[in-house]
Amino acid sequence: MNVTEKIMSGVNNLPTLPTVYSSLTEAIENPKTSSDKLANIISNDQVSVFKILKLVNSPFYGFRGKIDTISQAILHLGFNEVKNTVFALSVINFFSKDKILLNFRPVDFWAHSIAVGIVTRIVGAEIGEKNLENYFLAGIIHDIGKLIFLEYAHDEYVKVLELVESKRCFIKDAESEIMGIDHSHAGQLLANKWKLPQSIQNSILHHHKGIVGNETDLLVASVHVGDIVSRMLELGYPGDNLVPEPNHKVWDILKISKGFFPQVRKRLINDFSQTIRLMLVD
Amino acid sequence: MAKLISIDELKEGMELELPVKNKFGQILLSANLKLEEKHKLIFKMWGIDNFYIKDTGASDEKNQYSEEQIIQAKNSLEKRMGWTPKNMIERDLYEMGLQGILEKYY
Repeated sequence: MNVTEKIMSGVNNLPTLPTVYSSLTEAIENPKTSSDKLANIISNDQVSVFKILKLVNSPFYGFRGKIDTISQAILHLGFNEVKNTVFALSVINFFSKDKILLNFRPVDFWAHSIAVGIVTRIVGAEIGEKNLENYFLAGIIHDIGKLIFLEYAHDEYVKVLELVESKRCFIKDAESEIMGIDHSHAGQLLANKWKLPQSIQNSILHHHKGIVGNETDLLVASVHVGDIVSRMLELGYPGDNLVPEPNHKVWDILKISKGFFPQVRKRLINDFSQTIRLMLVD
Repeated sequence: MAKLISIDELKEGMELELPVKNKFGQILLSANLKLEEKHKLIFKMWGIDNFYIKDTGASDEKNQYSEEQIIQAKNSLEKRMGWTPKNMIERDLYEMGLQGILEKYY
């Protein structure tokens, strides 16, 4: 079995989505479901409740201690954003944090992913995107394919990390050279199996290019920028320490104003340090 | 007291804080040189997009770092980038990354 077949088989054998997320997705599809019913589903998982309330009351979401219940969180953030936060927390817990390979530690990987989620959402807000619910989640799971490799192609991934060190190259290029596919493709396979929205699948598959064919996709462009900003500020560790060149087309898509990045730097770092504490501590 | 600016921001009378070098590290213009309008054209010919001028603004966050520290931080960032900023947003990104390194390591 070659590496690609191993990955495909691994993804096919992965468990389905965490139960709470599946129950929430089913419930939201039913127009008769009340927000109290949705809050009850989430409340069955007390760890999620605790973390979600901490997160929505953190400076990142800006409610600062005003939200005491899941019902209030749904009221202020919208159901989909709360559902996505439940999902993000579930995915972080889904993969083992103990599988350390050379200098690649899942905790640093998640720290990078959370940083990308934060930057992606802040960029989304800056460009005036009203529908921000997928921004944080898309950033958090954009590199999920790396964990598939770690889980199902452990020996080959050691070679990938060694190649990154010896050639000082991007991890995606080392993956392609050793495994035949990179993490964006592996991640999209998982997102497809989990039936995540197409917009999230696109942001996983196309985050290196920042565009989807000739189409304008604000989410994909924002995740692309989120990745570059997080690498530039060394927030977490994505498997190599390089900073890719932005695709210049994303600036035409996003129309970010001059001075934005230097202005938000301190806020990003502050949000990052608080959010990783909330999301990564068991 | 160095401030990174682009050639579009060049104004007559600004003074170079750090020497301007080409990609091979050769000094093209020395530190302390007073810039004139003609330097815009010269920088364009040499393919120089950004350079450091003296900045007297007390609010500049980089004021607290020495020239040597700024050069080290710049080298470290550029080694990880392998590309040069090509527009004002990318210059902002660079500036943000540079400030991040200075705060984290110096």
